[in-house]
Amino acid sequence: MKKQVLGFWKMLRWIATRAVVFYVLIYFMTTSFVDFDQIKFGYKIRLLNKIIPKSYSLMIDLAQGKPLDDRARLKPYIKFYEKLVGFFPERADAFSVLAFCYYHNQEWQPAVSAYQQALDLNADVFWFHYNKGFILYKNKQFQDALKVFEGARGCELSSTVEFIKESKIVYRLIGVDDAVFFAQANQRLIQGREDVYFLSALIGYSLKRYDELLAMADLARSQGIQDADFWFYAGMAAFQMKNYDAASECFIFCLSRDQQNVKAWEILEQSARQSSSSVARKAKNLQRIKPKSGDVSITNKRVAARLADLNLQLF
Amino acid sequence: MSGAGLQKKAQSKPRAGRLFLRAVIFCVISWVFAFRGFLSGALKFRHDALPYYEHGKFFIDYILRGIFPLWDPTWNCGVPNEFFLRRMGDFNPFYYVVAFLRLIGFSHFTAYNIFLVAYYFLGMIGFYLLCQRIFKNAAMSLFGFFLLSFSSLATLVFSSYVSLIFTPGVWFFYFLVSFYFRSTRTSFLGAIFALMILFSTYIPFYFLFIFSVFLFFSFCLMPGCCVSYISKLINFFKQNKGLVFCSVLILLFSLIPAWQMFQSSAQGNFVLPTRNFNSSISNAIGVPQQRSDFGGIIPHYVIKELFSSYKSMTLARVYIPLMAFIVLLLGGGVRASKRLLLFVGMASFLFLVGVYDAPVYKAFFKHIFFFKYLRNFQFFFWVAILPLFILICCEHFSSLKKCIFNGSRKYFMCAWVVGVHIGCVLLFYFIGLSSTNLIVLNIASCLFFILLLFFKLSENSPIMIVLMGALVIVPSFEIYQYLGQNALLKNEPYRYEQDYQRLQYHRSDAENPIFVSPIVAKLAVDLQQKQSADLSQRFLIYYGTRWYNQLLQNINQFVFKEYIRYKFIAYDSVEWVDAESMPWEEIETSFSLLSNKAYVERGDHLIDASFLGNQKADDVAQVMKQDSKVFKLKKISANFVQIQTDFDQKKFLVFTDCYYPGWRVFINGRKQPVFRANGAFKGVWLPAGFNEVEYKFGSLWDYGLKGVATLLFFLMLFLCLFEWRRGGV
Repeated sequence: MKKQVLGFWKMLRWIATRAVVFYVLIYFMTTSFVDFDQIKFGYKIRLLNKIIPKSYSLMIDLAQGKPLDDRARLKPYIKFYEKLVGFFPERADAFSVLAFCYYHNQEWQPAVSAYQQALDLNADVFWFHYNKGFILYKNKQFQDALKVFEGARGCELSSTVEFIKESKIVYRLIGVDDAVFFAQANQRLIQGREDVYFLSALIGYSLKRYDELLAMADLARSQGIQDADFWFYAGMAAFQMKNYDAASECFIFCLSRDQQNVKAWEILEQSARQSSSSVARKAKNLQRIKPKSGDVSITNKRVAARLADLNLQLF
Repeated sequence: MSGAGLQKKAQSKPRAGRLFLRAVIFCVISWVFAFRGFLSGALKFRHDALPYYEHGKFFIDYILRGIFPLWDPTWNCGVPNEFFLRRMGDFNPFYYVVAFLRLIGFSHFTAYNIFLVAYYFLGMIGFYLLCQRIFKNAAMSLFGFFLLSFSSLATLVFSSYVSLIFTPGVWFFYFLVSFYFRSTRTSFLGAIFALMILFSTYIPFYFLFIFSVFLFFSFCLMPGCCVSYISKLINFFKQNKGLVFCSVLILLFSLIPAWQMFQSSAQGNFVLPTRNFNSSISNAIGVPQQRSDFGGIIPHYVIKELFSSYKSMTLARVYIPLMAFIVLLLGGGVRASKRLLLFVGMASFLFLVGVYDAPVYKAFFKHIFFFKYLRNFQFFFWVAILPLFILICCEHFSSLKKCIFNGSRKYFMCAWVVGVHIGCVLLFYFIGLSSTNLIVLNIASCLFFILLLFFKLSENSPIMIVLMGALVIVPSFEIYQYLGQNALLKNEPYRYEQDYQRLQYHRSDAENPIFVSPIVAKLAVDLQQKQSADLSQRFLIYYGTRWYNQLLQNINQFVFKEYIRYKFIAYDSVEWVDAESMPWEEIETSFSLLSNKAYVERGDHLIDASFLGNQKADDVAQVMKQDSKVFKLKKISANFVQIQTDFDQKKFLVFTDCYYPGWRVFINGRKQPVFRANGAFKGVWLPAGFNEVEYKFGSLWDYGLKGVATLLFFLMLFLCLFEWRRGGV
C-alpha cells in the first residue's frame, strides 16, 4: 500500500513539474487578472484603426452626389464598414453607410439587407426607408418599394435630424462637421420627402393602386407636400376612381405649382365639369394662370430628368 | 579533466567561433535579401523609424559640418533639438559610424542602413552570446540567434526605434550574466557602457522596468545565486576601487543630459500636446493613463496576428518562425527548471503589465512615478517578451536535446516527434492556416528531428546548424516577400533629404500642424459613453515651443500659415502686451493685414526710449523676400543666424523662428535683449544704419556638456574593447 502511495506521489510530482502544467497554471493565473470584455473592445478598436480608410474624400464626394469613377476605390470603405458593423452591430448609422457603399458598388441585394438591418435598429430614420425603397424601385421591385416608402412617409423628420447629429463617429467623418453641409441636411430631408411622395405616386398609379394614392393624398395634405408631380398622379388616380372633387383639388394643387402641365389642365377641366360648384369655381379661378400654349412632352421630359437625377442620400 | 580533454576543448572553441561567424554571415546575407526593398530605398520606412532616420540625418549633417545641432529651425518654426537628440541617444558612439561612412563617400541613406543592419545584428550577436552563457551550447545559441533575427523584431528596424533599446539592453544582460561566471573588468565596464547608452535617452524606463522585473524574479526563484552574485560584486568592488569609482562617476555624468531634459520639460517651455493630452501631470513628457485601444498589448490581437494568414504581413506585425512553436510543443513535457520558471515568470508578468486593461498597469500607473511618463507598452513585447519566448523555446530544445542525444527510448521519442508534427498540421488546418508550405515545413522539421534521433550527428555539426538555419530562415522569406508586397513605396523624399540648409528667406513648405481626429478615440468615447473633450475640434502639434502652440491654438490656421511663409519682417512700431492677456484677435488681424505693428511681450524689460517705435509708420510691415540694400541674409545654420541690415530708421525685426530661452542676439558684437514678438517669435530692435546681427543658441555649458559626454562615451567604448582584448569576458 505504502509503495503504491509512494509511486502515486512520485507520478504526481513528475506531472506537476512538467513545463506544460506550469504554462496552464500561468495561463489561468494571468487570465484571472484581466477584464476580457475591455480587452476585446480594445482589440476591435485597434483592428478598426488599422483598416480605417486614409481619406474620406470619396465618401464625401458620393454623399454630395458626385459620380464614382472607379469602383475599386470603394473597397477599403466596404472593408472598414463591414468590420465596423461586425464589431458594433448596434450601430444603425454604420449599417447605413455600408449599404450606401454597397449600392455604389452595384451590390443591390447586400445594400437592401444592410438598410433593412439599419431599419431594424432604428425605424425612425427617414433616409433608411427612402434609400431602401429607392434601391427596390431601381430594381423594379415596385410593390416592395411602395411598401417601404409608406414607412418613409410616416417618419418624423426631426428624429432623423437628431439621429444625424448624434452620429458623431460615422457621419461626422463624411462631412457632418461641415456647418454648411449640415445646414443643408434639413433641406435635403424636406426634398427627400417630396421625392418619396412623387415616387410613391408614380408607382401607385402605375400599379393602379388608386385608393392607396387617395389615402396618400390625405396624409400629404396634412404634411404640406408641395410636389406638383405627386399631386398630378394623385389627381389622375382620383379621376380614374371618378372622385372628381378630389381629382380637381389635386390638379389645382398641381397646377398652382406647375402651370406647364398640359395634361393636368386638360383633366382638370374635365373633372371640374363633374365637380361640386365650390370646387368648380376654384378651378375656374385658376384659369387665369393657364399658359396660352403648351406641350405635353415638356412635362414628360422634366419628369424623366427628375427620375434620372434621383439618387441615394446618405444623410 | 585530462590533458587530451583540455586540448579537445581548446580546439573546439575556435571551431565553434568559425561556425558562428559563418552562420552570422549567412544570416546577415539572408536578412539583407529578405529586406532588400527597405534597404534599397524602394519601400518606405514607417512610424517612428522615419523621424528617427530624419533626425539622425539632421544630426549627422551638422556634426559633419562641425556643429552640434541644439536647435532645429525646420520643425514647427524652430524647436530645441534636445528632445530629438535624447530620443535617439546622440552620445551613442555607434552613430558616428554613419558619419564615418559618409566621410568616405556613402550617401546618408546607405550609411544609415548599414548602421541599422549592423546595430540590429550587434543586438542579435549579444543575444547569441547571452544564450551561450545560459545554455553553454553553440547549437542552442545559434537556434535562438536564427529565431530572433528572423522574427518580426526585424521589421521594427524599419518601423520603430526598438533596436536602439534592444541592442544595449541585451548586451547589458549579457555582461550581467557573464559577470556571474567570471567577474572580469570587461563585464563590469561593458555593463556600465550599455547602461550609459540606455540612460542617455529620455526613455530609459522601459529598460529600468524590465531590469527590475528580472531582479524581482531572480531573487524569488534563485536567492542563492543572487546572494553569490552580490558577494562577487562586493569582492570586485574591493579589488577595483578606482575603476568602479570612475565608472560610476561616468555613469552618473551620462545621466545629466536626460535629467536636464526632464527638468526643462517640467518647466514647460516646450510642449508635446499629442502625448501630454489629458495627462494628470503638467510635465510635457507626461502621458495620461493609457487605454488598450491606443497601444499596449492586446492578447487577442497578438494571437490573431500570429495565427492568421501572413499574406497581409505588414511592418510590426507579430511573426515568430514556426520552428519556435514546434520546439515549444515538442518540449512541452520537459521538466520546468528554475531557469524556465524565470523566463516564463518574467514574460508573463511583462505581458500582464503590457495589457492596459489589466489591474496591474492601473496600479503601477497610480503608484510608480515613471509609469506616468511611459506609453506604448507593446514595446515590452518586442524588447523583452519575444526574446524571452525564444529563450523558453531554446530551453525546451535544450532539454529535448538531452533526450534525443542520449539515445534512450528512441522509438518513443520518434512517435512523439511524429505525433507533435501531425498535431501541428491539424491545428493549422483547423484554424484555417493550412498551406502547402506549412505542410512541407512540418515534414522537413519532422525529418530533421528523426535525423537527429537515428543518425549520430554531433551537437555542433555543420549539417545540423545548416538544417536548423534553413528550417528557420527559408519559411521567413515567404513572409517577408508578402511584407515587401504590402509595404508602401517610397515615392517622395524624407524630411531633410532636400536641401534644407541653404540660405532662403521663405520656408519651403508651410508648417503642418496635425489635425488630430482620432476616429477611434471618438468611437471609444462614443461607445463607452464616456465624457471627453472633443479631440476633433483641436489642432495638436507633436512637439513645439509652448508659445508656438499657444499661437496655433488661438489664431486662424490659414492666417498663421501665410504669416510664417517668410522669415524676416521689419516693423516700425510695437505694442507692448502682457503674457497673461495676449490680444489674439488683434494679432490675427495684424497677421492677415500684415499691419505695421508688432505685439511684443513686455516681460521684465523696462520700456525706455530705445524701445519706442517710429512716429511715422507705413501701413504695412516690410517683408524681407530677398537680399536687398537694407537686408542681407549672410549665414543660417542650426544654432546660428547672421544678417546685415541697413535701414534708414529704427526697426523692430521679427524673425519668425520660435522664441526660446537660450537664444541670444548680438548687434555689432553687443548683446541685445530678445523679445517674444507676435506671440511666439524672436523680436529685436535694430538701430538705423548698418548693423551686423547675429542670433546664437546655446551656452558654453551646453556645448561643453555635449563634447565631454561624447568623449566619455567613446572613452568607455575603447576601454571595454581594450579590456576585452586583454582579458576576454
